[in-house]
Amino acid sequence: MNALVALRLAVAGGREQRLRRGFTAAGIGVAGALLLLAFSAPNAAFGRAERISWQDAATAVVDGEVADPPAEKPDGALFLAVSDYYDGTPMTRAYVAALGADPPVPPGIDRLPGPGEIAVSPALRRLLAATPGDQLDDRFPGRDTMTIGPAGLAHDNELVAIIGRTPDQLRGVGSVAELHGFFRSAPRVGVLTIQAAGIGVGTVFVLVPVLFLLVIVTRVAAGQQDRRLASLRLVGATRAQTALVAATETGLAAGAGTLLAWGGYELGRRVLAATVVFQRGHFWVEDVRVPGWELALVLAGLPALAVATTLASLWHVQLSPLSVQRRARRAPPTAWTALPLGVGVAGLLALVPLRDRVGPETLAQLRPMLALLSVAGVVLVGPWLCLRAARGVARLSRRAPALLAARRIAYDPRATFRAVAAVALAAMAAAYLGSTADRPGPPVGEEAKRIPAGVVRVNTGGMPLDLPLAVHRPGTDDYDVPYDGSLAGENRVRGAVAELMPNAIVNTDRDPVDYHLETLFADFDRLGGVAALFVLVIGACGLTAGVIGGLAERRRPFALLRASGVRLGELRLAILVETVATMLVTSLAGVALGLVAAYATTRAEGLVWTGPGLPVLAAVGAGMLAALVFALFALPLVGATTRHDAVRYE
Amino acid sequence: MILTGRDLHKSFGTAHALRGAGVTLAEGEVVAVMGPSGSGKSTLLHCLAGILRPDSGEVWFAGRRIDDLPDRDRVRLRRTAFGFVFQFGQLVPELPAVENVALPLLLSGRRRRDALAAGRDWLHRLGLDGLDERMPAELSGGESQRVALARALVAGPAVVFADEPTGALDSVAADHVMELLVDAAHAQRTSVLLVTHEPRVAAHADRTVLVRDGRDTAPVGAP
Amino acid sequence: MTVSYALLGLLERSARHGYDLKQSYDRRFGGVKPVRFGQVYRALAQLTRDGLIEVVGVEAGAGPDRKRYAITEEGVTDLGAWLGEPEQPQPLLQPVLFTKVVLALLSGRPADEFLDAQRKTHLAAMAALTRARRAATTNQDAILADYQLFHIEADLRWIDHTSARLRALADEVRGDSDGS
Repeated sequence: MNALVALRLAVAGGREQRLRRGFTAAGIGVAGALLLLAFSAPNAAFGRAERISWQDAATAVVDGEVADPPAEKPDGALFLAVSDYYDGTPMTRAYVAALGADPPVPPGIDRLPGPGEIAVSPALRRLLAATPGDQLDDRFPGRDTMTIGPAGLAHDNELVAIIGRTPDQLRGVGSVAELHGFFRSAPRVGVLTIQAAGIGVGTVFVLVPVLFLLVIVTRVAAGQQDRRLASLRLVGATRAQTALVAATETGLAAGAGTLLAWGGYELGRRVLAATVVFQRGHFWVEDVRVPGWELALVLAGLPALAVATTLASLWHVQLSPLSVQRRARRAPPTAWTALPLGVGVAGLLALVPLRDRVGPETLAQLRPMLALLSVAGVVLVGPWLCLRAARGVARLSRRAPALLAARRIAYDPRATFRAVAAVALAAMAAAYLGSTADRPGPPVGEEAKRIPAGVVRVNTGGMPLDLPLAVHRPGTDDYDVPYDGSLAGENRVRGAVAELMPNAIVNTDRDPVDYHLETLFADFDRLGGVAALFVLVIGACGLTAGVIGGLAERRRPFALLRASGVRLGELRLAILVETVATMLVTSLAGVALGLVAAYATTRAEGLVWTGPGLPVLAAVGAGMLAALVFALFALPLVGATTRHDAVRYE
Repeated sequence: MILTGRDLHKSFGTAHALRGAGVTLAEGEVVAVMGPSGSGKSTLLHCLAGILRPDSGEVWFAGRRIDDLPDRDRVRLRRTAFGFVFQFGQLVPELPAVENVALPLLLSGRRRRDALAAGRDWLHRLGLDGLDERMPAELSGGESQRVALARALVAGPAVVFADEPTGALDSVAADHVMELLVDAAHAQRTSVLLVTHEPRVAAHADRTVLVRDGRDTAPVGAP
Repeated sequence: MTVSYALLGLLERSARHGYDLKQSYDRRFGGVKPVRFGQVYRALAQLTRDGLIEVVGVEAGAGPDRKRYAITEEGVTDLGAWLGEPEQPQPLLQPVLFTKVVLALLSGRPADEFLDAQRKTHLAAMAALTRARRAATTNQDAILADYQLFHIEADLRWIDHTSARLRALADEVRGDSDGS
């Protein structure tokens, strides 16, 4: 028997088999696309950071030292980037002055603006046009001759201007640095490590439910495969031959699914880039992508994993073709399976008090490992939780459908857990992402530093501020400039300060209070919505696959029960109860673990954990509910597949 | 007559499964329907039991016409008045034997303790003591069929429909199952409609009806 | 033949008189067909001549039943050989049924009606036997009835099989008759 025969066997089979394969291909497509999009997230975050790393050229601090960017050009340039606000929206004013004919140029423009010229981002140009001339133009003096391109912008809404000056104009200004190059990549230190830590743990949490989804949708295509392969084995096919047939059959669906995944990823990243607003702007579509080698790895890994899953699930047929008829029951899971989860969670929590002792690198290495251990722990303890749920259902309900459901779960808790694992793990991932992400509260005492209304506060870095009405605040570098409280008034003060002292840091009560991480975590709670969508998609596919799989296994007894007068509704109810009960129990455990992990991550980074916002929990719950509703669409199948004549001739 | 089917026709697409078959069943009577494969004997059973609706003809049960009832009512009739034994695979694999037997009672809302007690009683009556907690996969073919028999009888049905109930059994187990079925039916005056192609199985019936090409031929045997 | 071996088997258990042997035989095997005294003595004489049994004692007194018989070594060997040798299946009804079918087809009478009638008779017989079997008090009676049931069932299978092939059979039979 060669591959051609295997292919012949693989394409044989009726309409139902084609439907199953189609479902598997679609499931692999969804799972693969989600996986690639999840892997794109770190890239998008780092990509955004890299695009604006040039702004840090004068002020980057690495390991406590001011770090110069690597030299690119023989001639130098003077450079200073200052953060500023318009009506509470952050903006960046960068000043440059060329020190020769061939100075370094930041990304996004092709030459430095000369004295009297400015380069602006498209969003800033729109803002300038829409704002009365006396309010903003003072801050951006010069002719608008250049547009800053995406290479130098974090996102399409970023407000940036690069203002050309003469070297003399900049020489006396504080913080101005002489450069021979700009950063092209963000130094992945400082606050970025927190994002990286969150992303590292998050990736683990995302990866596992996607893997579960892959496994369960692959098993749907397998369907009656074990029977057919057992009969092949009985007529004398070798293990290698049946493995070839199984691999070919799954490979066809998996190949189609992989193509779908690729297409879904290419489409999805464009949709994400166009729709997701993160920290005030859309991502550039070029940033929402995985590196080529990761793409190749995932696209090769999807079919490989599907084939491996099939071979593993058929292993019992390989060992003994007769095992299809009578399979030994495995011993029920015990409470001991909770041990790895306990160790993982305890480890994560222990990181909080140990944080100062182990150092950030160890922390960054330990955390994903502990997260992985915890997730593996959930997978291990899942069947036991399902078993407990079954006992609960059996005790609480006296109705026969509930009994059917409880016995089904107890009979094979591992299979029932497989059906809901994707939801539980996705809920865990969503709870983690949604609540790490939650805005940390203000550090104690910071509240007192709020700027009163009607005052522009100017930090001069120790220089005197020569402005009428400016009052020095004793014991600080701050000057308070009173104004009428209007936006126009504030802008006029800001314009005056910028002209006088370009490097001053200016704030009012309109500005978001930046408790040193505000912008980093702003909009993170919007990820709750993305997370809910994730739960929904993974959960819907996983649950549907679980319902279909469970139905296929019990087709004959269900059909014969129906013939005996059991109502269709009662069978559907049994399936529903078994799905909901196990989903609830395991998802609650998953959400709890996600929250613990989020708490540990946040606290170990020294941040205040405010707990999950109600929107995050609501979003996760809504995602689960929607997934369940979607899976319920599989319930009408109960009617069709258990028709009495459907099983008569099997 | 507890159950009467008259002039029943049923076709699936262009295939005519029944062309005017009929059968009568008296209270407490065991009637075998015999015929070669494809003669329509199973279709006849399905029509009489209200699983299929005949294209034409009538089915009367306990003085009531049932073939034209809506599906909901026929389902109710099947669960309350009829019991079923099929060739194999009717036991719910996740339920232990006793709960499989008690299932019809549980579905009709009987308290679990009572239902299980009745289930245990029936297992005992069919000589299955000690197998209460066995799973279907752990039962032999004959034991499975006896559990199925107990389930068919547990709710005290007026008619038990048995479709090749011994088809997957050897002759000793088949004899045992048939003896138990006939004894139990006679003991509680349950009628049995037995579809089989095996003369030895049919010989347990009070009467045999031969079906050929979708029609019944003259009955056989003692009244 | 069968009677001789049955007697040998009884003698293997213990030596006894001819009268006892007949009583034992009838109790154990007579359900089918009781044996006559003359048959027993003829068989015993034959077995003695063949050296399979021997007379181990003659008692004083009147009457024919004075000799005690016992099985010999050779008798035991012979009995074992017979028991170990499978019997050819007995065609009981087959010649009659076959002749009837062929004759019916030859003469243009409806063979299927004959087979139907035969089937009903057989089924009725099976039902009666099954009832008798269920009423049987001992396993010996039951397995005896089983034997008959299986034989009737075999006939029924042959009848069903023949019914299904009746047309082909008729063509063949008529073809033969044309040729003759």
